[in-house]
Amino acid sequence: MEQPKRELKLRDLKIFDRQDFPSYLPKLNALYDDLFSSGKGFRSRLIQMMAGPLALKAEQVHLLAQTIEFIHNASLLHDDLVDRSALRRNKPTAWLKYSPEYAVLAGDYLLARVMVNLSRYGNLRLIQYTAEIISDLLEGEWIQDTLVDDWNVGLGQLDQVHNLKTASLFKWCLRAPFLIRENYSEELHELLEEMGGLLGLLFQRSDDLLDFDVRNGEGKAILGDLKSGYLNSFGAFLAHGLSPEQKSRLKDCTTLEEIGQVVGEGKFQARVAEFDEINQRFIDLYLHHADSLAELLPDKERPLVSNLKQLPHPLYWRK
Amino acid sequence: MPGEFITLSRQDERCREYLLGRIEPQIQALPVKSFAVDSSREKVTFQVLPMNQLLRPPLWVVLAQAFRLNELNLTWAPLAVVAAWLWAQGTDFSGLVLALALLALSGVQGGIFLLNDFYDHMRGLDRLSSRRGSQVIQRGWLRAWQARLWAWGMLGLGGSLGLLALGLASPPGGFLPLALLVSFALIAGLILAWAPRRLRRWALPDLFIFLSLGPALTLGLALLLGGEGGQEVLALGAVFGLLALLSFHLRGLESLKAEHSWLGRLGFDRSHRLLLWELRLFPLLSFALLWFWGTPLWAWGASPLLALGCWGLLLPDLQVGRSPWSSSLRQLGAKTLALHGALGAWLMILSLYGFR
Repeated sequence: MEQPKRELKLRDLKIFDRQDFPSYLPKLNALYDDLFSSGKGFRSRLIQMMAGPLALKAEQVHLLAQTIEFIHNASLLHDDLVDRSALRRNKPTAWLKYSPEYAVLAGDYLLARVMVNLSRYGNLRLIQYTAEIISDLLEGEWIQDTLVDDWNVGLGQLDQVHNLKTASLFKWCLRAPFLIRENYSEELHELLEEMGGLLGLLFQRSDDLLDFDVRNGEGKAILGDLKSGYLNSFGAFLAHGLSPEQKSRLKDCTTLEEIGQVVGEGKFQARVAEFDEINQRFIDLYLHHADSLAELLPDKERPLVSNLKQLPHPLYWRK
Repeated sequence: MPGEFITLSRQDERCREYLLGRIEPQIQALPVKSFAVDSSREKVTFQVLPMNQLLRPPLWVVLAQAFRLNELNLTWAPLAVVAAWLWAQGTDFSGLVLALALLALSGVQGGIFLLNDFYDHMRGLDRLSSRRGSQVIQRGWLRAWQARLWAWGMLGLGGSLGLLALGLASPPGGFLPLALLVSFALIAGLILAWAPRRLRRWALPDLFIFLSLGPALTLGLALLLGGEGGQEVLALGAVFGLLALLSFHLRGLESLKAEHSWLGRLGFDRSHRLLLWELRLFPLLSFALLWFWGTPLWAWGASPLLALGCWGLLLPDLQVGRSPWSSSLRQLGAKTLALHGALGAWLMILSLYGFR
């Protein structure tokens, strides 16, 4: 059945519509109402940012934005259950409010919906790439689960996990608009893949710093990862070089003051500065790749590059 | 460290110069990313830094890491035991030949390792995994052309010293068997340094490692020092060869996703189970090898040390490793090497004092 055309309004892009899901399934729409009523929708905004210079049609933008938000939120539903998290966006998680079974099935349903929508659209390369991204996401989640309670995990190992779990969605956001336009240039997509990987890395590392209350303007709850037995990227960076005794004390910390006592307050700030310096280098590398991207695009698409160049700094520095 | 980036296509002749490090001496170009690795479309992104921004340790530290001196016991340990045993047997050999053999082995081993790093760098394989090789080129401590020069220099020095040792030696049965063994080891080493990925899938590197760090090595050393190439020497070589191979496998488990080896084809679960059994059985297998074909002294001497090492030191770390990313797996390779060195030292002492 042909879908009615939806007029594109950048700010009013509605990801979830009750019409798209069966009303005879109890609690499903209520669960999705909760899920999609909050969240920043960063990934769908990224799609919209790509859409303008590429002159995508309204229904294409809607399809891509909905796809990425469905995949992202499906992963959140499953993640919260795997991690036994109590809160998501300051609200009770779906598996607690409804049931673990509903949380799993609701996540699966979103992924199934993605496949239905994309296959109706009919772009095989887009479907294939989306399926690969979903499997990367799951692979990353699987590997991350094996690293819980591993207090000697290295930054390199975590980067591999985040490249699968977090960065894959950013890569999709950069590549999918070109795929839907049927631009399959290998050189272009390799570059976009790398840029998406860097954005994902920066996003994750910034989020990991938030967990240690660094640039936590949103006032998010802190040390959640540590309390769950998971050393995030900044935690691994901080723990590198500590003695086994210090690592043992670190994992029992429940406040920042205790962490400061373990590693030394001055040392903590110094490590933040070092971490920032490393990540600033990744921002510089991303900007270099954006310049290379400009050489691959026709004139009318080049404004996209200046849009993309604006992303990494606020993404990482949170300002 | 701030620095500019430049991306060059393989078709651009500057790319090769940048990879080799043949650029202005006041700057260094570190490759940070390769697109389409090992293909004609490959592009390499370099970070260009002023030399004074690179924190480089003293040259001796750089070279020690480049030649992986911490892995020298792979050849020194068997040499020490063979020499001690022959001496205890009453074989009259030249200390000069022994010293030359030691230096020759060090040169060849270090040269092959560094040459491997050079080829991995030029082909972009070291950009696929940050734990590959000595990392001296990736960190900008040595330019690639310098690494190649040092590698061939060490190979040349090792080869020359080896030829000198051969010239001074009086192997029973003539030079031919020894010459064949040495040629085999050199060719095997060069192939390993250069091995295309498809070779690694068929366990050929495993076979080379076992032979060239095992029976071929001990047999060659025994012949060089004027001893007979008897079954004791082969049994000893088999134990050292298997231990070297175990170290190689344990390190391979960690890089299962990136490596195109037969272990990678088995997958993590089966490789993990296989290695657990290897560790459990290795002390028993070694005892049997050394008891039936080696010497009882070695058999009884090696077993407690190997049992302690395999069952007490390595097995617990391997058992808790839940995936190739587990931190406990990262330490296994180094611990196995330490065990290899300890075994060599202990058997050498036993051989020296056991026959008094």
